[in-house]
Amino acid sequence: MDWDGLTYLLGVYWPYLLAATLIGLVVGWRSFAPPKA
Amino acid sequence: MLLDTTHLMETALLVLAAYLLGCVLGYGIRRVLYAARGTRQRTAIATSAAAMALPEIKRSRSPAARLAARVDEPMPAPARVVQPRVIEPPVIASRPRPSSRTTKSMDRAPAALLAPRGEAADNLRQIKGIGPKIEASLNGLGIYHFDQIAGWTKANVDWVDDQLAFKGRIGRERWVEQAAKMTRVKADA
Repeated sequence: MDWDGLTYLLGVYWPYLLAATLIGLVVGWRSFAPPKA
Repeated sequence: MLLDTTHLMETALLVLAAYLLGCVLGYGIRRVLYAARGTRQRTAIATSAAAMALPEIKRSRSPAARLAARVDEPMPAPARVVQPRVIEPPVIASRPRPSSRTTKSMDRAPAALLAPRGEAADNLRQIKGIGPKIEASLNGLGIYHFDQIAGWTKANVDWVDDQLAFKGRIGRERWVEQAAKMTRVKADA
């Protein structure tokens, strides 16, 4: 994949990537377990 | 077609990378926020401790005056008194008691054991529908063996159903038949 291809994919599929990032954020956020005192 | 597949793979990889990035970011952000909150709390505690300690430092009176002041001062409360909590044993299941149950209810109750016969109780979880919690509840009712369940009458089943709030689950999952089968398997072994 060259740079042009990557920018093209980012330009076209950015909503999907954004959605995946948001889902990942939620999953990552929830996976953090505060250490018990 | 090959181009499309390659395209698809690249997109999928990008989406996966975005998801993983989000995971790391989410975890990291929460961790940083948690650490920052902990630091704030520690700072607050340190500040309050310093504020409490400050009057002690400022006090520059004579020993007699200090003693007099100490007598006048109310006794400082202990920082934190931890009251010993009495932990009540969990009531898993209510064993039928003659004083609280009617005679009719006692008649419906299956024969219960105070302890498992022999060295150990049967693994009641082998019956489909019985999990660790239900097994513990049944043990609490004095049910430890397959043959006990296999010998349940309709009234017994209704009684246990009522006790454990199963709403007909014992009949639906055919515990008695399963237990009878387990009893036979156990006897054959």
